[in-house]
Amino acid sequence: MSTRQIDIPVVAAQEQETNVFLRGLWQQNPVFVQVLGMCPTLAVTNSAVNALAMGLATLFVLFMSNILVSSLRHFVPHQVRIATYVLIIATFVTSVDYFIQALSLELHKALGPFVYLIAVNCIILGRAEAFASKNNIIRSAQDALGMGLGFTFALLCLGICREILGHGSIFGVAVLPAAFEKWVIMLLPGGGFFCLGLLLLIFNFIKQKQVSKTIILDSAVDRSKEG
Amino acid sequence: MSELSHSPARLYWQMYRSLVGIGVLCGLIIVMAYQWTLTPIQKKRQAATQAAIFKVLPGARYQKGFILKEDGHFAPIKENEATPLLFAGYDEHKKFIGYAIPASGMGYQDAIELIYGYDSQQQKIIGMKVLDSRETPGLGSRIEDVPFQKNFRQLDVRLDGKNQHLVHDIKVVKHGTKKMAWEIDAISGATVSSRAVGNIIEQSVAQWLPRLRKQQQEFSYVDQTN
Repeated sequence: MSTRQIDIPVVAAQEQETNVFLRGLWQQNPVFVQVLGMCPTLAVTNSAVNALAMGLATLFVLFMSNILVSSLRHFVPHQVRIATYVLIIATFVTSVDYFIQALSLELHKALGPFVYLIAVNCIILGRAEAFASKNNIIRSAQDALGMGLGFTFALLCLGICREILGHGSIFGVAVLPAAFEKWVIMLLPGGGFFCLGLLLLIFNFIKQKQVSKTIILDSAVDRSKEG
Repeated sequence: MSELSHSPARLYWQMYRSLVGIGVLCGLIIVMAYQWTLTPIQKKRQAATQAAIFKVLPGARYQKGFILKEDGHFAPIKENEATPLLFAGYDEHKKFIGYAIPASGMGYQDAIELIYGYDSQQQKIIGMKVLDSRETPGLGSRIEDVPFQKNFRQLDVRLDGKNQHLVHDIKVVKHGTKKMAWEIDAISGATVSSRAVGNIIEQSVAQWLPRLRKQQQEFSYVDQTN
């Protein structure tokens, strides 16, 4: 009896270990499942380049802040933890702002105030509080990579859809014939909502299919056991 | 969080230690990032300003930034010394061509920043470039496109005999009805943005031109330090 009780959590923890990275990318995707960070998701995804830059900037901030929060978790008293998280996140946001400017002024102009708004992106504060402050550095780094790439993936999906329909191009390279009437609405905030809604629909449809498959399989197994 | 102590004095010390320590660490990280990126950012900014100046002053090969001193005279400034109020452009023989003047004002959604070139010989605006704007994509954003920019290749901004007022005010007219050299052909569907650009330029012209015409000799040379 006692051995079984010990076995189960160990197995569960091992399973979690391998999945920390994938969980953020797919099962717990910050945009499609948790529906977090909607402000940059809707605002800067009017082109694939902007979406990619925003995703990577957020990934960088998430990765660095998760590592720092995790490595300082035994040092920070509970009462001031949020203040220190905000300080750490703001530091990396400021750095990433300099890096983007050094990389391209055009890109910096296109992203506008949304670079600074990474500081209040709830994905980052959420991961610091819910994960990095309770886990070791390696797991926190994996979690940040998974969540960050999941966020980048979601932004890219939106950015590519909106750029194709609104500009007829992907990453600035024309893919649709010039005769194609551009859907200007896709570049405006309204287009962001349409696109996000459709992508959520598709994503949840796929997820539901997966879930119903497992349920059918499980019930089949149960029935065979009973039989 | 595991080191949490129940004694208040110790807890205060822990809070103080972590806040100050992390603050210092974060400060260091920011300073490092700033130092690393300072040179490339400055180079990029200078290149962008230079490109904009040369675009609005066709034929210019050299440019120099100027500020207005307290005594009312213009003085050239060295690069990175201060933000120039306006720029003078010179051709390959370092002969003065005209001014490139930055201006800004409210657009349809947010401020529009632009720079225009003024040829004092012809008393015309000879070029305009929008530096920053957040106008509606597909409508107001067309102020950055070539058809609208064509309005500013020969825009008449002559001053009257006393060099104080424009002979003809700049007028933004309905799309396709531009007849006079002082009129701006609006973009159909983006009248507000077109008018905003017209107003920004008119205000800037009224502010600068009388002074620039009087004090042109202050610009007619290239500083040796350039």
